[in-house]
Amino acid sequence: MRNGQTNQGSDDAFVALVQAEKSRLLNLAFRMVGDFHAAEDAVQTAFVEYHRRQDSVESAERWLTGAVLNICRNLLKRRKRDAAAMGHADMRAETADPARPAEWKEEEREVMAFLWSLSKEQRQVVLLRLYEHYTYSEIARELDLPEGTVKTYARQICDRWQHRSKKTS
Amino acid sequence: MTAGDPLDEIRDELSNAPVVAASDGFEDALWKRLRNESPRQVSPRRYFQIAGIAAVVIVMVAAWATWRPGESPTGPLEASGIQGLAMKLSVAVLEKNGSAPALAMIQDHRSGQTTVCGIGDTVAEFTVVNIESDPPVVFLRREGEAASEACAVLTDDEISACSRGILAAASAGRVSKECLRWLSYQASRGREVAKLALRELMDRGGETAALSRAALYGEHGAPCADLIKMTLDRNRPDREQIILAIYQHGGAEGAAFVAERMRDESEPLRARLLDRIVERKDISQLPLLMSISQSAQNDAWNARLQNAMRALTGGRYAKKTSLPPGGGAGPGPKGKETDASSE
Repeated sequence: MRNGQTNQGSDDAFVALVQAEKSRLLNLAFRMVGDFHAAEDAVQTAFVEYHRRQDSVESAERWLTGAVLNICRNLLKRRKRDAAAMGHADMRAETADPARPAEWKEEEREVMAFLWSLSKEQRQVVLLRLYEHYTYSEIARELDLPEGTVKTYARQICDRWQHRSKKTS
Repeated sequence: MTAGDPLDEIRDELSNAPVVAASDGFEDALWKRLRNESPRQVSPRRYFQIAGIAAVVIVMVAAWATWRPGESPTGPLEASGIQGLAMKLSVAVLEKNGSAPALAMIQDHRSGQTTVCGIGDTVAEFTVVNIESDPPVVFLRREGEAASEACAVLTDDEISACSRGILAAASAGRVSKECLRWLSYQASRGREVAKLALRELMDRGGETAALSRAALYGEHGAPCADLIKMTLDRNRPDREQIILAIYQHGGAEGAAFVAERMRDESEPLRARLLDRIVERKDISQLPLLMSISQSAQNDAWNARLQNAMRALTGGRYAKKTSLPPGGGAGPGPKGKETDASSE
C-alpha cells in the first residue's frame, strides 16, 4: 500500500515535470537538430530514460538537458555517417537546413539559419549560454571541453554573426 | 551573466529564435512509450546477442592474459610475466642487408612510443636480444630497475628464449653488458640454460672484461671480487679450480690476482697456472713471468718460467734472466726483452 502511494506520488511528480519541461527541451532539441519530429522523439526518449532512473538523478532539469543534447548529438552523428555512406560529398548533414515553416518571421528565419550554419559544438555553446542560461564553466562541464575552448567558440560565434549581419545589411 | 561575455553582444538579436510547441499527441506518445518500455524487457534475441558479445570479450581477455611470447609466430611480444607491468610490445624486423646489422622496430603499446634499435641495444625499458628468432626476443626492465630483477619472473621458456637470443647476438658480435649481466644473474639462480649459454660464451674466447666478469658471476653465483675472497680459504676443495677460473675469465682484475698467486701458491698450482698462460698464449703475462723469475729462488721453478717464456715468444726468449738486484742495465736480456714484447 505504501509502495503504491509512493509510486503514485512519483508518477504525479513525473507528469508535472513533463508538463513543465517539455516545451523548453523541445525547443532545445529542435534548435539542435532542425527537425521537429526528431526533436520530439529525442525529448520523449530523454523522459523515458529519466523515468527509469529518476531515483538516482539529483537535478531533473539539468539531467534532462544533458540527456537531450546527448541524444541530439548521436542523431547528428548518425546522420553524418549515413550521408557519408551514401556518398554525399559535403557531409553537412549535421548542419542541413531544417524545414522552415511559412509562418516564421524574417528575423526568426535569420536566427535559425544562423544557428544551423554553426558547427555542432558551437551550436551547443550558443544554445546552452543564451537559451539555457548556463555559465561558461557549466557549459564546459556539460560538453566535456576546456572552458577556454568554450569561450573561443563564443567569440567565433559572435564574429560570425556580426560578419553575417554586415553582409546582409 | 559572465563578465566579458562575447555572446552578450548578440544576445538580443539571437533571442528572436522561433519557439515551437509540442504536438497534441506528444504526451500520449510519451505515456505509450513508457508503458511499452518500462520495465525494460530484454528480448531473447537481444539476450543472446549480449551473451555472445560478453563471451567473445571474456575469451579475448583470457587469451590476452595468458598469452606468452613464442606462442604466436607473428603476434606481439608481451611481457606478461612481469609483475604489475601491463606492457605489450610489437617487434618487427625492419631491414637486413648482407652483413649489416638488422634493425628492429619496437612499439610499446602502453605509451605508443616507437623505437628503432639493433641487436644488443638497450632503449628505455627493453633490450633487443635477438631479432632473428621468431618471434623476436626482447627482454624488459622497468624504469629504475635492473634488467635481472624484472626478468626474474619470466617463465623458463622465456628465459631459454632470451639465453638463446643472447648467444645469437654474441655470434653477431653484438652483445650488451646488460644482456650478460642478465644472463649471469639467471645462471646464478640455477637456470641451466643460462649456464650453458655462459659456458658457450666462455669457450668462444675474445670476450671483453665485462663478459668475463659476467661469466664468473653466472658460473659461481658471485662476482669476481667475491670469488677472490673464496680463495682465501685454503681448505676449500674447489680453491684451485676457482683460481684457474679467475685467471681465465677474470679480466684485468683476475690477471692481477693471478700474479700474486704465482708468487705464493703451492708449486703444483703455480705450474698449472703457468701451463694455462702458455696454453692460452697469453703474451701479456710475459712481464709478470719475468718479474717472478727475477726473484725465483727455486731452480726448477725458474726453469719452468724460462720454458714458458720461450714458448710464449716462439723461442726467441732464450737467455736466463735472473738478474742481480738493481741490475738490468745489461744489454743482452734487456734487448731481447724489448724485442719480444714488441712483437
